[in-house]
Amino acid sequence: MLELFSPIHLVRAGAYDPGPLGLYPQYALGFLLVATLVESLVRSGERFVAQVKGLSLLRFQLVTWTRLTLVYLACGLVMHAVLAWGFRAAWGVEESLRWLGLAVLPRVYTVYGLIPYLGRTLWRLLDLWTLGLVYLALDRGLRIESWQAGVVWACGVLAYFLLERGWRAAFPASLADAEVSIV
Amino acid sequence: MHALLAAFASLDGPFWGWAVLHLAFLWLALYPLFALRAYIKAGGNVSIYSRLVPPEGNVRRRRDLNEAYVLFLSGVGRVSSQTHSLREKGILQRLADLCPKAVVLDDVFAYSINNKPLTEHRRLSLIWRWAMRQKLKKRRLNGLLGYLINVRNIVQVATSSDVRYARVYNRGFSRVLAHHLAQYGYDFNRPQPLFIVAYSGAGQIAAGAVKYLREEYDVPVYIMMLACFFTEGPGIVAANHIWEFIGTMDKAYALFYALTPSRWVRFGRTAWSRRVKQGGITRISMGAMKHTGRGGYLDRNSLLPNGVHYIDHTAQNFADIINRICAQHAKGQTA
Repeated sequence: MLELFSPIHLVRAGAYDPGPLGLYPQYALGFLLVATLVESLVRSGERFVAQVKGLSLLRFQLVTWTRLTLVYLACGLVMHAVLAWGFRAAWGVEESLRWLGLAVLPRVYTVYGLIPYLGRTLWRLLDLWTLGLVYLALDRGLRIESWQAGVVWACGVLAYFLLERGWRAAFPASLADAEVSIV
Repeated sequence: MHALLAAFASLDGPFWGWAVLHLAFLWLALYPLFALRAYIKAGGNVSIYSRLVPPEGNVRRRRDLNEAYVLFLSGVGRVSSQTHSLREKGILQRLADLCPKAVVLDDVFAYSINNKPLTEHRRLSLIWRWAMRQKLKKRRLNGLLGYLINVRNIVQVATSSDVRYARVYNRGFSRVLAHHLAQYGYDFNRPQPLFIVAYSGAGQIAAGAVKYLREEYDVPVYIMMLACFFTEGPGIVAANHIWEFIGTMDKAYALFYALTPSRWVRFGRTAWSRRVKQGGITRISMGAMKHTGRGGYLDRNSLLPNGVHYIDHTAQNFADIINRICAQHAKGQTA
């Protein structure tokens, strides 16, 4: 599994061929939880520097972890729905989520987003990498046509942005912006 | 146990390469949080480390007429507020002689939020003292080990330039500067011009602190960047004027410039481009000077075509500006 952390290995087509690397759905969910936990910790770190402390910080972290997990899962469900209804996919939702779980695993690298000065750029690169991996997971993992993978990918990305925007609009307090003060 | 050892033994070179890389990145990522943690938890009310270095000649000495304060912030090679560099001592001495009405200071450690030297760090002082000893040795390998200090201080510079940490770090350092100036008799009720002469990485620290020096202490601040790394930020707007001194042979500065894309664009809405348009930034060419060492800005041996030593040329450039601005301030106060 450790070789999954090598970007060179991950972008190779072979990494997404079903075989010894094929993952069980429960592991995929575990990967998703770990990746979102790390991302929520990183965002909490940023909030800590902006003076959110104590229980507020803990609440922010739990809410962020839940939010990120739900948003990724919802995107997976949207992509599966497009696959099932649009392209008559013959597999169950767990198969789709399995590949999504593998694709978001490198999000654990969001911890490097905290690196001063270069972190923000690394984070953006990681976003692009994740987008590429989701496409690879659909194209190579689920073995659908490239254009179909493109459509499903675009629907997933659209769902992500809509859900993130929707959450921000519906629960602005959960982002802890109001509590930020400057030292 | 045997299985575990066998598993470790089976890990190949690339794995260990990646592992070391990831550990280094992880340290870089978590460093600012640990460095700023105490300051954040205390709400900014941390005690500032204060140990004044005794005067040498006219350096760090109060004058009869304190018309201006000149603060030299050293590059990333320092471990404390005391310099061990003969070149730095040389430029300070020259500045003190050329600017008789200015108090010339250098005993601030720019790479700590509370001015605490690395050599007095609670847990890591042994490492930093060892690194300093390596740095002072003339052999190349020892010098490389001494670069551990530079790496640590570069991370501090990056922390100061990152908007997420900058508000905490730069504000903290501005308090250090204000505290230090007060110790040398700076009168905040009748603010005299403060000239920050920043060398290399200290440029970012100076530019970061200026915003808070202006806002909270109302100090007129002029920055002289000697081949500095600094990013576009509020400090660029807050400073009264910025001078950049750049040598044509300075490869380190070329790297700094490449790493700060916010300064590439000279048009648009960035604070940098606005400041350049307003004439708030002046670039001064220093001729064929390098960043450091032989042929560097502070070199006491190399000569310009007109027979002037590099260090004298650099000091004279600084002094001309300081004396001119001092005269302007004096005229303004008289009027």
